[in-house]
Amino acid sequence: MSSVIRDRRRLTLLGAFCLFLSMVEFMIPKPLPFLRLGLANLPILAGLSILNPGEVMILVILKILGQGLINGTLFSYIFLFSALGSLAAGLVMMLLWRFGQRFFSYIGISILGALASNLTQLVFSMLTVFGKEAWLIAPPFLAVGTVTAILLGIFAQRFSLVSQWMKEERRKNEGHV
Amino acid sequence: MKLFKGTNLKIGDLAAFLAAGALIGVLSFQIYGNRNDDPYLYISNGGQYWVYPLEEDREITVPGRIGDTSVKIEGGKAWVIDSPCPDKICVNAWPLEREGDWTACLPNQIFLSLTGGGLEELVDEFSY
Repeated sequence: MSSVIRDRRRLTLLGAFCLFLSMVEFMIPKPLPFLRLGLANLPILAGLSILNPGEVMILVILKILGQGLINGTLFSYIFLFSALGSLAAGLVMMLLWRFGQRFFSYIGISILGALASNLTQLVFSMLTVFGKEAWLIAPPFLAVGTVTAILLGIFAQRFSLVSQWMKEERRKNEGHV
Repeated sequence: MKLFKGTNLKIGDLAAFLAAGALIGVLSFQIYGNRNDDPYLYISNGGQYWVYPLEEDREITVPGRIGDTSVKIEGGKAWVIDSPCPDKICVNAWPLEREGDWTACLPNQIFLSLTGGGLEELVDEFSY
């Protein structure tokens, strides 16, 4: 594990942000079950430019565990929804960042990450829990996910341009190469 | 490969946005485009399912993962009146009255939706 993690402090800080944003999201009332803003994805999105692929996936796992702790779902079947969705989103965002930067900015990566997460959760709920009627959830679930993904993508884009910390971390990475 | 000068938007961003929009549009059209006037209430607890007409007022107790969820049908609408979940999102949700409306109690693994089609059709459909 230590060979994957280049900078433990950086990963811990981003993991703590995931935990904090999970708590913020927990405090926001939800009009419908399943609807989530996905605020805790922001540190993962922002971290794409300063973390290696292994670190990104470790951050995703930290986010999943943090969300489970905050929501009290760590030992319930609902945890599987969150885990599968987050892993799908993390994988898609990491691959797009690595191989698709020519075509995608943070905004496109965020939209496709949200889509991957939401579709994975939807298919999982149809196949294992609620049956095919669960497809009725899709329109509001995907719409809310897409809108928040765009806003998070815009924020991550702006943050990566103006943050001195991000610039410093990127410079450190270049020093390693 | 920037889409517009002076912005950081790229061609893939537009493609991702259009793909998401198209998917939401097609699904919305399929679900909300041709609503049935006499939908049935479909209830699932992950293992069993129940189908009720909305014409007859009644209260239903559905066994779930952590306890019983109570559902009421009255005046052509259906809603959750009680459930053993901690957050009560399902209890505070709007009543279901049109085909395509749904709600769920995730902790208790209960899903409710209004679905169209005749009762026989529905029974066949869910008897897979």
